Amino acid sequence: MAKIVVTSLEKTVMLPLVRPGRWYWAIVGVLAAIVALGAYAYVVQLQEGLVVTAMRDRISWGLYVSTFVFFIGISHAGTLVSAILRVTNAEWRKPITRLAEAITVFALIVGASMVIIDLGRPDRLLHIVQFGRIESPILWDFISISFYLTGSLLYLYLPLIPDLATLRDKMPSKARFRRWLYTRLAARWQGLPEQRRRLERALGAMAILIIPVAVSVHTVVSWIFGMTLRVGWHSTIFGPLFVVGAIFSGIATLIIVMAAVRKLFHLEGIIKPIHFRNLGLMLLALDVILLYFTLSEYLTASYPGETQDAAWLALLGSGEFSAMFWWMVIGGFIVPAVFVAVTKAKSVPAVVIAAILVNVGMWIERYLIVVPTMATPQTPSVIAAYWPSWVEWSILAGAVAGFGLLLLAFCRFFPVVSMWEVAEAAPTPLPEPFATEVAD
Amino acid sequence: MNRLLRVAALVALALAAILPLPPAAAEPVTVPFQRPVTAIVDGVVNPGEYAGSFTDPITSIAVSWVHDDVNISVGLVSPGTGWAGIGFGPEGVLMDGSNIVIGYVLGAATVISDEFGVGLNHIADIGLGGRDDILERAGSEASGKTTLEFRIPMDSGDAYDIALRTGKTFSLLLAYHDTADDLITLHTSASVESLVLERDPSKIPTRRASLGLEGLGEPREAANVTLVARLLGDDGLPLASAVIDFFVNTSVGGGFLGAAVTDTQGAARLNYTFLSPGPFRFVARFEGDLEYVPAEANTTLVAEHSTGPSVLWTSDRAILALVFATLAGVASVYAFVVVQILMIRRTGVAPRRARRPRSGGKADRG
Repeated sequence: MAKIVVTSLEKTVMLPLVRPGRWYWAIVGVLAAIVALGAYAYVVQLQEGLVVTAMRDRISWGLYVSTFVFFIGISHAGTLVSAILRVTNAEWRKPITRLAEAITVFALIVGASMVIIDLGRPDRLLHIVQFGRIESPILWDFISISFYLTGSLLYLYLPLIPDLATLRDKMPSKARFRRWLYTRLAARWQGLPEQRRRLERALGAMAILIIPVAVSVHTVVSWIFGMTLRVGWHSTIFGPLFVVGAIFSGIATLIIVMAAVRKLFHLEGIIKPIHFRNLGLMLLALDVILLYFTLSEYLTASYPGETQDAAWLALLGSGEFSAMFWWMVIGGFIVPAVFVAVTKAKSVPAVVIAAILVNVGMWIERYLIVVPTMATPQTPSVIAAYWPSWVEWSILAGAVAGFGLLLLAFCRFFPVVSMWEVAEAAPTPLPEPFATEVAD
Repeated sequence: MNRLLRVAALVALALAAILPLPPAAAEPVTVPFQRPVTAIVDGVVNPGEYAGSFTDPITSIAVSWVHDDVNISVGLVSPGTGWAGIGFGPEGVLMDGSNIVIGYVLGAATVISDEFGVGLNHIADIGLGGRDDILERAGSEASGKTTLEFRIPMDSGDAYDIALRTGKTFSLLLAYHDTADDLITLHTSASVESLVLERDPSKIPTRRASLGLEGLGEPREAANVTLVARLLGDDGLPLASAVIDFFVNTSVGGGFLGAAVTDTQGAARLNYTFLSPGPFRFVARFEGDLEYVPAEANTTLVAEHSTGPSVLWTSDRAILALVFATLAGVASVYAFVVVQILMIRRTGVAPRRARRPRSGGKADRG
């Protein structure tokens, strides 16, 4: 029997694919139950119609659209960490790029599904193809998200090819389905110079292209709001604000997922505190930029003292949404910045706590972009009221759990660390155990 | 780490504690109606001189006031020896468009000026081409406090004075400076409240007018319609010289379109151009007057698609070309990547079942 050489790195990364552990299944069970609850709520909504939500004629975009914007935002994790750092040749990125790229794909899938859920009648999705007009930002959004999802799938797949070949060759022979799957997906990879050259070319092209595509996606999402004449939305800063916010929440999500995967699959030797530190410092920098943009947005709106602007700002600053608004500013922006700054991002728990706070704050920020503006009347009327129904909350919980479940399913079938890239990372010598060889 | 987690828990608790504390919206303060007005503008506010009073909790300025539906009389006592000011503006607005009365007492001289809010600044009405409409003014300084008293018309007719109407809500601005006797030094303290002028009890409107709204013309993208609001009294006769406000509510926003005055037939007209096809809900509103309560009407017009080019994009073809060129560029890079994957596959050798194939990149050579 031929001797198969499995390095310690491969063994560590491939182990979760074979034996993910009890905790893995426990978490999968909990997430699956939450997804089932969300699915049940969606069935109720399909049967009864959107009347089971709290959305009405005045506030027709609520929790679903807020969550859509949030998930499209966190999809920027892959773009920043993988593409930008790849273009700038930052070697430290290598152990975490795979996770970032996977987050992008799954966040896009979950985010896009929120729009379909918001439609009420999913069959009407086809209307955008049948009746869509190119002047409409909704159609721009549909096109840009479709292109981004396609590009992100390609960008996830490309660096997987050498690892798929490794799995094809080194998975235990009893895993027949997997070996068949990896054989199909590995594109006959053998590490030949010609194959490597073509892979590098494709990766280089995608790394450069995916950055403007990702920026365009969240800019276009912002234009869905910014191109209207509604108070709180009609703002020229919305594009950059959305993009920076997206990268901000994307990095926060990556930090959370890194911490979870590291703990769950015992990857402490590969995903190290330096990764949390570097990402934590990036989080801090983006926090400051976002605070600046937020200040600029609200100050510009408040200074002229227009009646509708004043009514909208009063809702946020001291009215119905003030608790959420101040939670966002203090809990989502200021406290995480203090956490990261005080610890200089050297403490992994501090960075993870900051990332959790950032994501809660950023979800609230998305909610506050959507709902208070719709609550502010355009014609003489009272301020509209909205609080999501149990159906909306359940679908939100299902979406978040679904995102986690997709990630866990990915971890079960594909290596969460790019083995070939980590092995090639010359500036970061591998730890001693990775030098050993294990016979099949 | 445990210490950090404890800190994090405390922070989370503190943040959670913020959540259940939405502050209640403040009720507007009321200026009472009184006829005849007994307040005397002499620079001193005596107890009981004014029918109403209010002490602002932010600036600690004490305001005494009364109106008789013609003039409003105000006594202002600030907690400093510098300037003090009061402003009446459109609801929800800070200073822009507000009628501001500001002054100070310097020795024996009292300066009280009729000014107008421009952005976050104020300029004397006279300087803008308007008039100083203060009917009476006086001031004094005692015990570290400044008292300013004045009387102004509720509707002076000056373009730089807001017309104060009973029953409507206005912004109330209050500000002062501790020591500066001028009109330019930034305030020590300032606040914004809302204000309502009490109606004359003998003139509370009870009659109900009827308001109708229709659109004349073909509702089509890029075309005009004339919105016509007809206001009739409860006796069926047209109400002339009434102000009708027009609003629109579209999927992309809109809001206030403009105001028009009813003619002798009770009709007020406003032109509107449809920028896009689809349903447009229009609202016409009559604010009411001394006899009639407010009335509102609405109508929805569905604009058809334009047969000509879109009015939103005048250079449709150029923009379409740009959009499709960009998309084609992105798609071609994707195609290039797919071709590279196919070439990778073509370069490699299909694994054979009998023999284990060679393994992956450098990693597997280690």
